[in-house]
Amino acid sequence: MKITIYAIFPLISALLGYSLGLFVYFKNKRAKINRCFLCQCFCISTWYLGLGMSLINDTQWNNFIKLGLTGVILAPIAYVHFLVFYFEIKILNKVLKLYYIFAFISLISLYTNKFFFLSQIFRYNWGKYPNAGIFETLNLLITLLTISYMYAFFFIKYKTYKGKLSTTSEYNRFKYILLSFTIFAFSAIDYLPAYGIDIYPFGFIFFDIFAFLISYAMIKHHLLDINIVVRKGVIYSILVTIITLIYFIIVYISEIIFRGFIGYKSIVLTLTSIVLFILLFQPLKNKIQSFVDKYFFKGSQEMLADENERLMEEIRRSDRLKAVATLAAGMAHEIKNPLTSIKTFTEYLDEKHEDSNFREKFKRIVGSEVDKINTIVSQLLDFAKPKLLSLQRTDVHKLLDETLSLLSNELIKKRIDVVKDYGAKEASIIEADPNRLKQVFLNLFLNAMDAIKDGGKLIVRTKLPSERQTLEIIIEDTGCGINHKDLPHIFDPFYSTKESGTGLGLSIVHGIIKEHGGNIICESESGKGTKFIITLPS
Amino acid sequence: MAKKKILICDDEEGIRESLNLILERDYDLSFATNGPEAIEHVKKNPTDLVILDIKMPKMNGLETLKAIKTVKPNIKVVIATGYKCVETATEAVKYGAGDYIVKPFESKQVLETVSKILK
Repeated sequence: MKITIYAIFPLISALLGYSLGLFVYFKNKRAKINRCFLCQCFCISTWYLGLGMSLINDTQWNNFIKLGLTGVILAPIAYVHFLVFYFEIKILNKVLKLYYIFAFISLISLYTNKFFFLSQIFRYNWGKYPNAGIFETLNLLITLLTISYMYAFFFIKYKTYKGKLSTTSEYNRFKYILLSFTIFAFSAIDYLPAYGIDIYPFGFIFFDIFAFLISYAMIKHHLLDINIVVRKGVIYSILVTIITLIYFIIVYISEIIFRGFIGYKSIVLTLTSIVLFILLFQPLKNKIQSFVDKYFFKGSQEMLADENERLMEEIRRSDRLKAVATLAAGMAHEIKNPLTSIKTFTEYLDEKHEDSNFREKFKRIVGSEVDKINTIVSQLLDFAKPKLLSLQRTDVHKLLDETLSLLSNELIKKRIDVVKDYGAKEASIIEADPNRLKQVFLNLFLNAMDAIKDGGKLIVRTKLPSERQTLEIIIEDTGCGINHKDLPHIFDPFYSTKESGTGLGLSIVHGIIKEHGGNIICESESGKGTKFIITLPS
Repeated sequence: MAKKKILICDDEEGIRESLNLILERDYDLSFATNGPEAIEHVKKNPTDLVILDIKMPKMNGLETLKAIKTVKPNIKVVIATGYKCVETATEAVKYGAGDYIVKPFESKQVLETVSKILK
């Protein structure tokens, strides 16, 4: 028994494969995809266990190589299960039985020493390797056929669904799972020594990368959004292949040139290789990275942007749901008050309907309470399910003027001076929904008018901050201001400091500005006035 | 026997009028639309019970309750709340409220609560 470096690598891969398979399996035992992965890992790891042990223990070589080949024979079944489950290739499901039958016959043949020709062995520098028998060749052909079928299926589907899938995560998943398997397909290099080609079976490198990629994707991304991981995987696979090839070339050439030289030691060769690798690693990685980005991940930036947009939409939706939950609680309270009045008045209707005073109160109070409920419900609908923005080129200055002229009578009555300072000039024309913006201005002006009790100023300014591509609209009043305690809550639905008011006005304003991709902040000091600063993309 | 004096403090006219309908026959009622008004009233007028809304602008029900209890510690207070919330009720009781009614209330329930607390 002799432990060599050639045996250690496959044994490490086997250990890694078994552990990863089990790890992924125990993460979610019930998930079919995790079980498929476990089977695949076990099959391939068994091959590496058999191979590694056969290189260590020469007396038991036959048994260990049989163990390894058992994994190789069973691997296509696990692979097909994965494809059937993941890609939903139904036709493969129908032929799955054939895979089982073939594997069964292969195993019988292997263990009865028929057709596997284990007596015919290739002897290489790194160890013994079995000659490929008829079943091993068939096994290789079947695997290649399955992989080709998967590619064909993918390209047919890709053509059909290209337009539909190009922006969805489903397409990404589809494409990158395929790439992971492509990396894995390189491990078929292990077949080469079985046909007499003197190459150390280093397919374990690709298996290791594949196993890591898939397990990482399953656990971290639930098999979603794995493009970044796979991109790295592709880059490092190519890098490892090139470095290994260079190493083999160096070994081969130096064996030929320096064999006869006195003092030639393999340590010199190893050191030279290490120096070379250190020097080559980064530039080579960069080159491969730009190559991979150019040919494999052309659309990755756009897809990433799509994904970001999708995630942002989800955040917005969940924010809105949270707000609706707050609204529902607030709404329940706001509606309970008018309901109480309506209920009490109807309760006393029989007893007091002849009382004219009661009738007058009934008419007034019940009527106004019904209106109140109607207002709350309409505003709630506006808030919870905002109408789609109808964006068009909108002159903000014109819109501000129009809104102010709507209120001109009230402004005069309340002795409010309007001061305009439109610093943004022609840059005030932006892409916006004029009706929704008008609602914003109207709400803010009405708030300012409420805050100014006995004459004051309403200052409306616009400006373009030099460092940003935004338009700033400032609406300022010299009214009573907002208490510092209330300031953090002014945009909360149903938060009101006014005697009459639903507390929805400012939350609707906030929602509209956010829908426009802008921002609104409020500065206020009790007794001195309030300033709203709106920022909109220009 | 003279009618007991109750102050109803709520910013909503509908609620004030509803309580008026329920209680006017048996009690002598006064009204306030906010906390400071209620505090002023209890300072100046003899009052047996205050029915206080929790959610009011300017000064909320709990703050008003604390202030009333500082001015007149023996005055009885019933909280009217839209929140069927144990915390609000417990907090109100901590500050001296005798009981609470939940909106939308039944006239029978209001009459029972008020008569129980004024016994």
